Amino acid sequence: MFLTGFALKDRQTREALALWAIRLLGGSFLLVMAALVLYLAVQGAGAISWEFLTQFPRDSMTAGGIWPAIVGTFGLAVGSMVVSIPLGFGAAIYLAEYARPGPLLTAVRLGVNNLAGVPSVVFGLFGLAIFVTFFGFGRSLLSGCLTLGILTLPTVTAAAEESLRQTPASFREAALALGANRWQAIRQVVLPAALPGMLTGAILALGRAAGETAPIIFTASAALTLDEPESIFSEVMALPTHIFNLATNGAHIEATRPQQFGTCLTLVALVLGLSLFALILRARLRKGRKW
Amino acid sequence: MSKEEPILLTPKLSPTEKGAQFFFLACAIVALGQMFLITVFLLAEAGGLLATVSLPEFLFSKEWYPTYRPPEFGALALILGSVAVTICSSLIAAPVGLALAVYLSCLAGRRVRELAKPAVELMAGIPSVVLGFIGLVVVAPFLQETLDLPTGLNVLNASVILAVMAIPSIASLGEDALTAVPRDVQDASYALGATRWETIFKVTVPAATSGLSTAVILGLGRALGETLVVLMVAGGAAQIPTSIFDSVRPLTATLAAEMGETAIGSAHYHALFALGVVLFVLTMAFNLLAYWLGRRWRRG
Amino acid sequence: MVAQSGPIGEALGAAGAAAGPSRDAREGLALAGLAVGGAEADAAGEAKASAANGPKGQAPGGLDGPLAAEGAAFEGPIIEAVDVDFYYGAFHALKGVSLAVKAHEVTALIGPSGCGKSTFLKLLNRMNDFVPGARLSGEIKVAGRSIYGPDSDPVSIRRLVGMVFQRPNPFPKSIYDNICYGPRLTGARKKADLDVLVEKALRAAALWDDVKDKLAKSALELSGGQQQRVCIARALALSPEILLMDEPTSALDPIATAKVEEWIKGANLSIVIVTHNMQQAARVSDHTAFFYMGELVEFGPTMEIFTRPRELRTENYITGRFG
Repeated sequence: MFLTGFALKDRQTREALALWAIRLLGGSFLLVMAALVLYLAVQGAGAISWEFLTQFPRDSMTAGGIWPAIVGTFGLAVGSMVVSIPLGFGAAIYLAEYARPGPLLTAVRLGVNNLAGVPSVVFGLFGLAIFVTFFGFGRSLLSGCLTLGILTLPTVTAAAEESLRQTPASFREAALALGANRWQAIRQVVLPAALPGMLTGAILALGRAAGETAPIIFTASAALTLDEPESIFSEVMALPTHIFNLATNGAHIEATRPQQFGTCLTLVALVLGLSLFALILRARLRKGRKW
Repeated sequence: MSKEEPILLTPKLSPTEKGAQFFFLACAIVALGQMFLITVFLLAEAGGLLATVSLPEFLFSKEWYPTYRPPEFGALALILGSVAVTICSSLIAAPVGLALAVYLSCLAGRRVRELAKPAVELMAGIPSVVLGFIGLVVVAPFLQETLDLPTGLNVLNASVILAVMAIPSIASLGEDALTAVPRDVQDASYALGATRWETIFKVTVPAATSGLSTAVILGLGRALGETLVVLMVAGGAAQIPTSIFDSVRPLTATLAAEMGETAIGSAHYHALFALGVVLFVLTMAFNLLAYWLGRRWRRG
Repeated sequence: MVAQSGPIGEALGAAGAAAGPSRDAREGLALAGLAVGGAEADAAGEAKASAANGPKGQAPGGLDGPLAAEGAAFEGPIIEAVDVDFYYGAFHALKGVSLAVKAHEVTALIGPSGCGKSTFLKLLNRMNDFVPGARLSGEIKVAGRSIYGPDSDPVSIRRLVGMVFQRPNPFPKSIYDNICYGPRLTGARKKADLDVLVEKALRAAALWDDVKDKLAKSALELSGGQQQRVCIARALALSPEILLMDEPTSALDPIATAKVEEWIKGANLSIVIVTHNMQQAARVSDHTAFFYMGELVEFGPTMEIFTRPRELRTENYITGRFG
């Protein structure tokens, strides 16, 4: 009697200790992340102004704004989606709707999975070797978009395939039984149901593309441009490489600190804004979905 | 009486359908082709190095002096630099990430979870250049002053920042794995008189082991392949680290720092692609391991 | 919309009430262009042509025109299976099944899980074509035409043989768009025609009064039983010769089940229903086929199957000794 009571008490102490240790570890990390974002917001807010967002850099980048970097990042992110959305959605439709189990399906799935884990700097090397050098596009918006497009392809494909697979098989069956052919069933029933989920995945990938640095260092980015890009063959500035250049290579590392914080905050706001938008969209979709 | 052979039923395809199917197949092949192309181009460009150094020399020499005459291309210090920051960051990221996963899936109240889970997913998306910047302007001076070091740009700093980067993805994937453990298994444990802690650690976590290890391995894969953080805060010295306060020059940092400054087609250029191949092979191994564990998880 | 479709609505009024719709109502439902000319030698060709002419055939004039002559031309069994063997890869799912189903009757397929009854059902509208490795021998005729013959077109067969599935599976679209899905595939575009068609199909499925004010609402917002009747209406909008029902009430509550059963009894359409529920088979069907391990064990009038089965296996099943 006494012994069991003691053992129980012992167990309860251990229980409480262990659970609080977990809460402490998990909770403190959440706090660290919150502090980090807050720190960036406070430090960056001072630098951000209308001029900062809309002007070209001046005086060895110690003054002026980051307009060309914003334009460049926008171009790179949107351009990469132009590459990865058609290709990724197409591949996903094949994988989810047409492919029958077999070596080809395994190969494609394994290939796409592996592509997702390849470090982004390796994509940069690949882009340099194939787009910049082999195809001769040079260091340009085009090379950067193609490189980022391939980089985001696995994410876009996987999210789209997942969304297609979540559409119930009964939708397809019903359409086929009503005399639709397979392509009509996909286009008229499956795609409208799956498209919002597919686009959510693409928006998340868009955020990732906007924040990537390593793949565009040698395929697209210039330290400074004096004009907005003229064509897809122009070099462009981008927010991530701008931060990197100012913080590590610049002639005035200390003097450009406010610009660095301001650019960081702009980039984080852009990327988190896109992701938040995608997450809210996804949550609303899940709630509104009745199948 | 012999019966006629059964005929194979196949959906008849109209020309439009054949066209659509062909188009989507082509997309899938192009997607697969990327993997193939990346492999081919990396190997082709890296192959040029073999004219300068032998494979064992490249892998096992620690002398990386690409701009000397004659240059030396020994990748050992760089490989070990990558290994060092990956291992050190995993020592921080795995426990904290898993604790966060357990906290989110088993302990947090509904309201905390509904806010914290998307917050963690958002954090996984913070661009690495921003985290590297934080390492540069906040963590490095802090380490240098409090520990009285010659530089705050070292293995420790890189590992901390890499861990901060990897923890959200480990936590998010880990939470998925823990949530996938069937409710009734846990109820059975409670019904047998186990406490919450005992249920979590003797039933829930073991049932999710394979999913949790996939989460950790994918997190490590990210740390290994991450470029900007190590480029900005690891210090950049091509030496074999002996303590966590040494500066290192991981593979990814070497690639990003030197590729911009070499002539296309030079021995140095080929050597950098060879580093890319090493990195590619290492991350591929991580991926295959994670894929294999993930399949076991799904089957079990 | 209601006023506009007045005459047809009146003509079909009887179909709206589930009890005892007249034969006229059913024929009124059949659209021009999909009538079956079974006796003609080039019947398959004609069906193709008529499918292609669908939109023109569906002109409003055709809707209330006298179609009796075309619709009733075929006299033999509406479904005739001769020595059908079917395989999923190496698995022999149906063994020498021969069966003839009379028009305008309800035929129930019963048997334990995996006995082949659903497989047989899905052969009747070629839904098994999509299963990899599906192989078939023997012949299946619908309205006198071989549906697996070299000239047969699965798509027009599926328009002739409608299907309702186990779980209600309306598309995530409005009720109106659900009903219009099939007709639109054949090219029907005119709003006025579609309005008429939607009302007619919903009345025939005994759902019109429930949903006439919310046709633009998502079909997924309806109750399970109403969803299943949307699916029935969706199939009826193509005015099929035959309706296949694969355990149509297994996902419904008893009240919704009763409504669907009542509809089946009054439908005066050739219906083939797969069911797990023997009471249901006894309640709704005219003929019953008992499948066991891929074989058709016994087929006959429902009354006979349930009161004096000839085969011991049938008796064991209906008395609950296995299954």
